Amino acid sequence: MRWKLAQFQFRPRKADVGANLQAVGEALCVAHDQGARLALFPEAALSGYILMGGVKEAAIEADEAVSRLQAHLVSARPGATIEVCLGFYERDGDAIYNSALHARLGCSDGSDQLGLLHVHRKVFLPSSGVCDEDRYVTRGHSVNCYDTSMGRMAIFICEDAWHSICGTIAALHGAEYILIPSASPGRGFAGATPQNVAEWSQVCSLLAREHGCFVARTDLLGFEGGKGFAGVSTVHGPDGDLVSEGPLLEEAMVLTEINTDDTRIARRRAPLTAGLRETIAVLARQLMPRSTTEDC
Amino acid sequence: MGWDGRIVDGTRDDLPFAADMELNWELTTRWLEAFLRDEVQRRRGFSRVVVGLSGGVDSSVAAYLAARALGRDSVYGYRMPYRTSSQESLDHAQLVAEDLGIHMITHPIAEAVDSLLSHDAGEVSPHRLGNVCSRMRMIVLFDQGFKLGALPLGTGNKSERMLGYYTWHGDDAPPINPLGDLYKTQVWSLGRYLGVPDVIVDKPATADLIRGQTDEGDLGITYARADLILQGLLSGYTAEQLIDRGFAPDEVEVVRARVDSTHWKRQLPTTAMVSDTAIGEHYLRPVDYAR
Repeated sequence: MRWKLAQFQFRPRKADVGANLQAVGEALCVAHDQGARLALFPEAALSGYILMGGVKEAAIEADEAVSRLQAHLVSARPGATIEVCLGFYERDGDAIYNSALHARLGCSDGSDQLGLLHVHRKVFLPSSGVCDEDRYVTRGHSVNCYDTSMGRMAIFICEDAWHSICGTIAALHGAEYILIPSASPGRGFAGATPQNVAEWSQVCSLLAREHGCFVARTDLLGFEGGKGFAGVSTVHGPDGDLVSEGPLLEEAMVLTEINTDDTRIARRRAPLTAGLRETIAVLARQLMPRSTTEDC
Repeated sequence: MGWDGRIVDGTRDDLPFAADMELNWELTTRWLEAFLRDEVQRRRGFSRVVVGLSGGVDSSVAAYLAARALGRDSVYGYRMPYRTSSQESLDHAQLVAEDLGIHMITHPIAEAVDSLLSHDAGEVSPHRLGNVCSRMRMIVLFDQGFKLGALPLGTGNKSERMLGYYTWHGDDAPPINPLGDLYKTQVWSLGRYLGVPDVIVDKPATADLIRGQTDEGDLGITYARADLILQGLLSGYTAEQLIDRGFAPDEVEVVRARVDSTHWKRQLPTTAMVSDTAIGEHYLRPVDYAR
């Protein structure tokens, strides 16, 4: 199967959720017109990333975000269908999470479920360097896979992807695609690209290669209080190769054709996930500290 | 059976943090231009900037970046001489303005400074005079910015900021600064990349208060050494570890002492907290919130 992914290097208006939902809705129409089946937006796309205590004011319930995007798409493109994955600050009761939702929007053709398919709540909240998420949002507690019309997917938000255990869990649960909305402040300017951009490409390549899946990362764009987000969306194929790359520091919709045959071929060539399945039961006991396992 | 293989000392003999000092100046320039466009135009809604042109490398580099990012018609360079300012500084500021084709205005501060100091019989040391001149220049720059609908542009570099070699609420007052995370030696390199005239990049840095005064003379260490030590300290090395890697104890101490005695200069004023809604403690919003 071949399908088209649209990644949006997106510059949100700070803390203006309504305006950003409108902009995302308009972008979805453009993605649909270009034949995309899935549009991937960055982390915190509905508000901007650095809000500090403002997350309380810029958080929104996942269902409400989906319903507003659905209303926009149905009105602007009657009969159209598209899936969207985007990062946002999520309100759930009294708790606020750094989350990403995946929804199927538009007109039902009867074969696939419309509406919210999955919400991932960021597990690894960075609280060092320029980031201080732990102070403002609640930690997520799981990494899960979910089914879409393109196949089985998992979402990691930014730092989640840097912890190999997330990739391991997603692979064991059958992920064929890992979507990564991110907001990575640019730093390190000695090389050809910002150091964090180069390191992200390495992380995504290794993640894709180890687990034989497509890895798509979309980064926020623009400066927030001096911290710059570079864009440079990437897709790595299941052999770890870079399939596509977006421009640096430019608002852009980056289109990539995904060929699912690549996954089967890569997994046959390097059956690392099969090896993981066979071995994980033996190694899993070591994941917990000795005292904990002995208590059990 | 003995060991026949080659014996290699694989230990790195360079300073691991020194490699971070020489940047890709094309990429850095592109980044700083994007910063200026985002912060000046998109976030704050200005189309113009005002920048004080001292004739030194920092303000020159800031002007070159602003002209590239915003267009030369959007940049207003201000020469703000005091009586002790050298003719060479004025000439170099003019050289920058002419090379870039930006607006240049000369706004002397001598009358205002002398008037202020004339009401006080106390001694006017070079340090005190420097503070008054620095703050007076900011009054001019902010007032002219208000008149023109332009945002004042900061020009302080990371070395000055870390060493506390500036006037609090003077040089550091402008709301945006493209150079504040670049060491002085990096600003020199960036200046060469941007085409700032050699006569400006190559001359000794000076606050221009006393004839013959230089920054490095005041600080007691060259920027080349100070910047490496600062980078080492900021990267997590202790003074002892830097000395172990070849730095002289007295030069490490010069830098460490200046950094440790000037933390207050890198902060907003300390406010007594009496509630659980204190600004900056409980009430926390980023600088660009809702913009």
